Amino acid sequence: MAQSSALQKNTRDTASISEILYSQRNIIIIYGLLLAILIVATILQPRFATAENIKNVLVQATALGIISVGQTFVILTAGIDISVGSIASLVVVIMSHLADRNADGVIGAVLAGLAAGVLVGLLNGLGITRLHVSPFMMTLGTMSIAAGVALQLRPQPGGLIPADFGWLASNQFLGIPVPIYLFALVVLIGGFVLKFTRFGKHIYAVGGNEETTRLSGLPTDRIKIGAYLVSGLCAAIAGVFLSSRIRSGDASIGTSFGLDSITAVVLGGTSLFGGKGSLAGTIAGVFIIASLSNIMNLIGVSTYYQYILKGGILIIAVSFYYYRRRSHGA
Amino acid sequence: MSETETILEMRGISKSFPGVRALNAVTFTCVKGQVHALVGENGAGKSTLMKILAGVYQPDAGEIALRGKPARLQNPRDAQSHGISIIYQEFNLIPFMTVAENIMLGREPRTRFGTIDKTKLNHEAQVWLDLLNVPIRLRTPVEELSVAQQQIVEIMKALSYDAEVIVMDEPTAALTPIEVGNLFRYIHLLKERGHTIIFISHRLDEVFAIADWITILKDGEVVTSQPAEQITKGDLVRYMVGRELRETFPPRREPSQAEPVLELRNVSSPGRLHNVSLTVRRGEVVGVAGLEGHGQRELTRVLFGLEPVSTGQILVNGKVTDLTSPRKAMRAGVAFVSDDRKVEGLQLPLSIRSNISLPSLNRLHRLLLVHHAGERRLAANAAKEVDIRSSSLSAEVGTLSGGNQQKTVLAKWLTRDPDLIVVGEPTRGIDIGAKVEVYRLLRELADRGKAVVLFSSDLIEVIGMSDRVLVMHDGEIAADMPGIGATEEGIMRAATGYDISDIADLGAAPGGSTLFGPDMSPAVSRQNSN
Repeated sequence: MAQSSALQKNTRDTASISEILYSQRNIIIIYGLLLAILIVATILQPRFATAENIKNVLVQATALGIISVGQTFVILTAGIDISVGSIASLVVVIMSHLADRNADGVIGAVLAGLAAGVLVGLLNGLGITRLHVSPFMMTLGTMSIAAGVALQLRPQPGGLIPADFGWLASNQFLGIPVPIYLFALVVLIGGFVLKFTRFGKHIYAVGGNEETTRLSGLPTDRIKIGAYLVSGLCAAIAGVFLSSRIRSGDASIGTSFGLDSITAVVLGGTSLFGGKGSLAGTIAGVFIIASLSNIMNLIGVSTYYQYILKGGILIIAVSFYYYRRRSHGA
Repeated sequence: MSETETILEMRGISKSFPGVRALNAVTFTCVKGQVHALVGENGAGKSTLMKILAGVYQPDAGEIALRGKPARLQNPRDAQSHGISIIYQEFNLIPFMTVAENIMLGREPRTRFGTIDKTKLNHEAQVWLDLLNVPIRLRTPVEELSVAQQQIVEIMKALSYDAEVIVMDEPTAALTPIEVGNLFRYIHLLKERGHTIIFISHRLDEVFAIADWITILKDGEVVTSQPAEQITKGDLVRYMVGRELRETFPPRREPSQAEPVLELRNVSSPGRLHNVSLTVRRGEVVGVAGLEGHGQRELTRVLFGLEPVSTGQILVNGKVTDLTSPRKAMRAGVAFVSDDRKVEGLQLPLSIRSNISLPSLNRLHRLLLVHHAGERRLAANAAKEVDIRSSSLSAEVGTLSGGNQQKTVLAKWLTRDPDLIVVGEPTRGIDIGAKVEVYRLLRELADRGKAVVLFSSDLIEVIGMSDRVLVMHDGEIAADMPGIGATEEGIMRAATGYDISDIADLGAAPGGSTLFGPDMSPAVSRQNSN
């Protein structure tokens, strides 16, 4: 670049290879870990590496993956959103009512579901910025509220979403399942927003230091509300996908996504203190969680072991990030 | 007790950090029952030396002896068990626990059932309150106490650990003059009981008022170590900064008559500023000085919408301007370099580039997208202007030295091309080389027609940098003097609101409400203290 030559000898505009490797160390660690898991899985059960099974893993990862994209936005602002699982359940339940044996109601149901997700996200954002409730508490509250509304609407699983709508979860396009396109689309858009838009830059800035961001003239409250809106919307998209998959209403379907999405984001190297991390890391975290559960099934081990393994990997990965940071920190 | 029983001996202590030699063969000796003042500029090595004593850092070379026996202080616990306690500027108290619980923290007496014996706990803590005759209630949560009272709790905590050597790191920085007098009363009590106090302060008057012995550090070396009565204030200043004053600061200017960039007309802020009027002109560096807590910081914060204004007018570039939020202030052409750069100035986990471009992102976009090439160019130019030294602009700001961090903050604001630059404590925590560069940079900005308002608790810095010095007292501007010819004494006189002759009288006044005047001779202060 022209301006880099004009710079002082000491400071280059662009980073050297080793610096890029260092700054991307978390990504390298997490993808290394993912690769190791894939290799071990293939050795244990060669069927793991078949195209059919890989597609399977990806489809299984779709709902968690989409939710984790939104969670990444929130955690980058140094927040947390534990309401996402309840939002997904609520969306499924809403759709199971509005599209119950009613093919004409599907579009309206999808829109209503998405609106519900955005609304809960907005509530989260407003509570955190205007009422100054901590993100954990605020989203714990809305998690309970959304779960309560969903259970009220569907105390028992029920409702039947028309088979036509099943295409989103079950069809293939050019030999690749539709969910994979959906997943990829959300990731690409999310990644694009984080990397190339002002909103994305602002997300990192708020997480890096909110007070400094405010003193740099940026509307920190609006940025934070934006992050929770994205998170609510992503959870709702996952809900729409899930309702296409199970085609009925179940108020408890999303329960595990709240903590799993946080696990995926943190596993992916994003700091809970905000400002540091990436969507690429989150995706690796999602794949690790999805592959673990898949390989357990394939080799016939109780899936309960996946919880133990998931917890262990999370702790080891995070301690490793911390160790690296300490040893290189100023 | 013999007059010269050495309690602490640190010999030939050296310590380096990457790129900085913080201490070079420092020898530091304390006599039992004395107050030993450790003075020096920021970055002279005082904190490093004390952190070695506290077991926080390990020296690269040198040895430590306590009561004549070699001691290895490998961690804070070792130091504590050797009878060393440090009272940092930021207290180590738990806000919602009571005074008694804080004093006894970690050593709570138990009942037979293993629960905490509250009666006994309060009883044991009461001993320390009685000893110092402290008017604080044991059951008060610490968060309800004033800073001065919290400090006393820290002192009692230290005593409860059988501390023989108590280090106080700038204990008076946040105290009012009356509270300082009280603190000194406690220090005298501790002395009488045979404790040794290491007293770190930037306030030379206080040093002379309380110290028996003075050690001066400069650039990591001991300049001199002598009984306090053998050093005059003039010596002290000369030892600390000496001839460097002239070399450090770029030349100042006579007060100018250029057009005003900033005017304040009778501006008041509730409880903080009273009827402040001032003018800052194009090309001028105006320093704001005073004793801590007299409104200097608030005055600078008013200019960036961080303190409320109740009455009065603010004019920027001749127009009445609303500066009630950082955004509005930025739009009016004000830049704000906070005195707390880690909290208010930087995004430590982000890159230098992201930090620099932050306030200008709104001008760096096409449609909704950030113009990356534009951002790179902007950051690279600004970084070059302030001479940030780092391997690349992608480096995390948190990994930089204090000097480069401060330059990053300056670079960030330069991208906005402000008319008025408000700077707080611009050289806090940065080394002398970076200091000189920051001074040069601020002067260059003024020479390019910008107005600079500088607030600093370092008087030498204010005098050395400012074309004009505004001295604040009790939220009002007490004096407006040309920088050339301004002296520490003159500023202190205006800042305390007293004449030198008055101060000697006040110092002798009963009740401990001593105001330590700048021109008090050591002999006089010694009389007061006994």
